[in-house]
Amino acid sequence: MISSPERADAAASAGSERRALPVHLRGAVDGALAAEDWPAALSRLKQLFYSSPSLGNAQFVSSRMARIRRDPELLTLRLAVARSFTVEPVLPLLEAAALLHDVRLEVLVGGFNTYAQDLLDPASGLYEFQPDVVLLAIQTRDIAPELWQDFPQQSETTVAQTVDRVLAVYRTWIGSLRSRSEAALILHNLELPAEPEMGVLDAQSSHGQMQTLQQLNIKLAALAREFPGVYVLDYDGLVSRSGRARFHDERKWLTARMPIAADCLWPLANEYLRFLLPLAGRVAKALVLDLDNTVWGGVLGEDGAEALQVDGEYPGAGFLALQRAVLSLYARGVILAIASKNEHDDAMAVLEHDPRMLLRPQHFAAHRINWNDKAQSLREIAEELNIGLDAIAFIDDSSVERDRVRQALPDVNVIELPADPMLHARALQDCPIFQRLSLSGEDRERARYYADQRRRREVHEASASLEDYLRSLETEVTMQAVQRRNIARVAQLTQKTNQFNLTTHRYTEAQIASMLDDAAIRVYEVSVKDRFGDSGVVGTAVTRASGPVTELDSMLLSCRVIGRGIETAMLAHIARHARERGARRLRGWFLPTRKNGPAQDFYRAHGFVVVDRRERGALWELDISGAVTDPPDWIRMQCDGAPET
Amino acid sequence: MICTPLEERLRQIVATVFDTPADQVTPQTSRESLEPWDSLGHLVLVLELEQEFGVQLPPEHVQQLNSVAEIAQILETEYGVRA
Repeated sequence: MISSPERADAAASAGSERRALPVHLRGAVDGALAAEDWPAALSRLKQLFYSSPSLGNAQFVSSRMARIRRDPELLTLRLAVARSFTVEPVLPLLEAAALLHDVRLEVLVGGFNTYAQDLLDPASGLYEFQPDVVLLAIQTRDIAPELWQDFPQQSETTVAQTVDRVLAVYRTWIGSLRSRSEAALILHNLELPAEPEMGVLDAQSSHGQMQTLQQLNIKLAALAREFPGVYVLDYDGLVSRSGRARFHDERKWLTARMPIAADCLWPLANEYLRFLLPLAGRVAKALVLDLDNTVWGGVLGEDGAEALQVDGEYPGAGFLALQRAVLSLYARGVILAIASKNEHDDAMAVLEHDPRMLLRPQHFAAHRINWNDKAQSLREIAEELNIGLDAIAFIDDSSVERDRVRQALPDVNVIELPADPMLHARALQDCPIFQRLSLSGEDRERARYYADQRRRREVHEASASLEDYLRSLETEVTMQAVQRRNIARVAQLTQKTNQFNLTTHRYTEAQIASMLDDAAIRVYEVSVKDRFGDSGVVGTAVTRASGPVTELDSMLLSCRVIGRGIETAMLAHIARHARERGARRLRGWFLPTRKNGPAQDFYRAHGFVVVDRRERGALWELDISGAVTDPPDWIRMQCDGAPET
Repeated sequence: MICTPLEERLRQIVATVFDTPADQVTPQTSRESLEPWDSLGHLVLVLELEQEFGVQLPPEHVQQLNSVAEIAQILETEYGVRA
């Protein structure tokens, strides 16, 4: 607590510098709004809120966002909160931050301590509200008061009974929600007290207070894993990261049932965002990095490669920590790219040869190392990676560059960095747009695929002819009946692939799984490898046999691998396979969409003829009773485990 | 309206927290006169004051912060805040 006048003075004078920025920025926002300059207003609002996420600024953001006329896909997310304490002061922060990510939150806060009824009663307001997300925010002292205080008075047996009781009620609540709603559930785990009641003795015991709560949290996480769409929010971890002693305001708990200190409201709101943004699909797919004073300390062009600071000492350790944080994003599937004002060859030489670097050229899927405007570089990178600007995050130590990008490209997620490089890694880690709630094998590998793709392009540019290039890739295509473990991936491909897709039929995981029980239907998975790496499962086809005709229900290929003759190899296998099963004709629709232009010439190019034409598309047919297409000779084909001849 | 610099800053804070035009907030604006300034609103205002001025306000002071002028007075006499 700060109550002495001297400390308040110190805080206030430190605050007056911080204050100059918000006042100036609020004026700039209102100026931009008056001039109807929406991008400028939006970029200033973001800068204001991220540099100082206070309640006042949150209210300011929400009131001004309502006046900005833009045309984003504003997504509405319905959030129901079941709680045992006053969460209301967190909500303005959460709502403002969500708005800045184009998510409008509609929030229903349940009654005080009515969380059990909210979840158990099918007629409760919570179910009537039809939430997309339910947040269960319960404190240890409310659900398990005997573990929070008076612990020493209890026997081992009563403690064990309490643990079992708590887990049993959570199981009932989660089960009840799951049977009535498809909403995602975010569950606070249980906070440990600041100090165990038995002092240092607690840590010596095998059944101490702290250990009991830690084990309860482990069991709670295991319980959550039993149900789909249930996510544990590590509330205890949040309290400890923020500082156990500073997180609470006991007086506000006693007078207003609000246990959290003013300074820690934003960390809690941000923790909620780390779940809500991925649930809303508002995440960054790629991170674009500046180099000088971001990835390494110093300016390469002025200080020289030798003088760059990036090592285990001060201040190089801050840059190394940032590189480590970036690599952990890469491991989550975040694609990496560089936008730096530097001499290209000098910068690449540092990344390639400096033994102190953790980030290497092979981690990056695109780079613009030149003297151009960074907004232009980011535009080019988005185009090259074939992703939207709103899927890009940008990190740069220079506030001038950040401002330039915010103004020119308001959709890009510009990460606000504190001046001290020792704090940069933390700023990146706190950023909610890099969170993922689940990670498939494909997600884990994605960043590498994109980086491999860049190296392929470089070889392509160096090759004399297209065929030389394709030959140099040493492509290996594996096409086989879909494996159980890849059903989710195949369903995901049908849902996401827009370009090379003949019919754009979308299937869920359950639909694909049920096709496997139908003997007439065959679902293929296609994976591709080449000398630059393994792209994993990137294509699928679904065929339906009926006597002399086999119909191609779906055939698609990820845009990562189109233009390499893989579709021809797929057709060769499908046709051969259909013929072996007695078919004489292969038939398939082409259903045009706004995006599947790359697939429109597929049938014609492979000798199919039109046999029917409707408004929605054309039906094409190929005689397969005689010879059928061969795979291109630069592709090695593996089918059902054996090389095909 | 003659305001001290602190009162001026508080007017801005009160206006923002309750999303009310600043010209409608005076030193005399109070919990009775401003409709959104209810008990939950009061909690939010107190939390904003704590963040803005780097103080933690105990319940004894929280219940005395009933108007812009009273907030200014408590901040000034108890915490030495001037603006």
